[in-house]
Amino acid sequence: MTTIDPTTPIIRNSDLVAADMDGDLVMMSIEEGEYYGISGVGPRIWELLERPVTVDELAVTICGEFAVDEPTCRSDLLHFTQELIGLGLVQLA
Amino acid sequence: MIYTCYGLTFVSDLALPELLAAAASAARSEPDVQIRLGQVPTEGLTDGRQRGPFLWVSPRALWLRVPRIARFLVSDGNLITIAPEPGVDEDSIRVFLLGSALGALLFQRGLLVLHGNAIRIGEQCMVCVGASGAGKSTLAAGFLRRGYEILGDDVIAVDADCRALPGFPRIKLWQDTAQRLHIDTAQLRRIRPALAKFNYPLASPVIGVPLPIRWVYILGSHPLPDTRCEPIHGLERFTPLRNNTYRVRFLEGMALKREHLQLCGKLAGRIHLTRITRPERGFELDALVDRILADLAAHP
Repeated sequence: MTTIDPTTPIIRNSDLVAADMDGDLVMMSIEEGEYYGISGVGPRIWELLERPVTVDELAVTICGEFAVDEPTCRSDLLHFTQELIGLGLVQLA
Repeated sequence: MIYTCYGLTFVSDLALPELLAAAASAARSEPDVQIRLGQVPTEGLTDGRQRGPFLWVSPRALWLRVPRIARFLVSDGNLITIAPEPGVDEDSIRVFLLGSALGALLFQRGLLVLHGNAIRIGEQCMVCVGASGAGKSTLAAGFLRRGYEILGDDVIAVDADCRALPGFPRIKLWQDTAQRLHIDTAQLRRIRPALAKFNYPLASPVIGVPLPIRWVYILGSHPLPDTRCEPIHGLERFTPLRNNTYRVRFLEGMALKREHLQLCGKLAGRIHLTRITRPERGFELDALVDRILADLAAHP
């Protein structure tokens, strides 16, 4: 599996459809038709992943908008985006 | 014969007494949908995928075989061709025509199709969905008895503006439900000759206009003695909307899952969605109607 570090540019997989579900996000891969849900800070991160971005850059934005310290934020983001990559929802930019 | 339902005009080879006859003016314009008796391939679609022993689906067509009843071909959102089996009665054909075949046609026209009923509340409407046997039609009959208008029962078509389109004026009731509501089934037509389930015709809807959906209730039952109302938020809204989509497996071959997800998202963004769970034993219909009316009033 592709592994990333905080400086790797990543982007959403364009082969996905997402629908806002009452503030959360439900996504579907067009090819397999599987559904995925993201809630909490997730929809905001997804929004930022529309253009190529690194985990370091994501951390700066998210820390500015949510009450979280930067080391925790970066570590959580790395974990989360790594998971999205594993599911094929996010790819290297 | 020309009929109207879901805002569409239908011209049909088969008489459809459940539907409203269209105004005479409709005869002069091109119908939206044709229902024809004719040839339907015996072995499915050449350009589609088999989705079940008797079901083939492609992006433009759906082929359905109901053994001993008929084969149906639903094409391009504007044509249903029926090849009846020898000796079959028309009532039995209509059960599947006005159910699965019509549902497939509405999907092909880009609508979200829910399995439930829609009841007018002021200038909006509520939709009640739930598993078979949950009591949806009984609940609709309960609202009807209180003077509420029913926009549709069983197959609810929802447009891109999240409005329920007026269906046809009937509720399907089982014998025991009709008895509990003191409805004399001797005067009613069975939906199929061998089935103790009846078409209960309603007075024509006063308004034939689409109404925005404001509330969706998921009706279920549990072995406990109390009735529970639980609002559903966020991500949790998707699964019940998906699961209560009419014949959801049809979507797989229709290449419509993307549109379906987006329609569900739109609807989820504007409704008050609540799971209402009644006791399995002793269906207190009037109490349930009151409970829902109170919940509607609390979430205008």
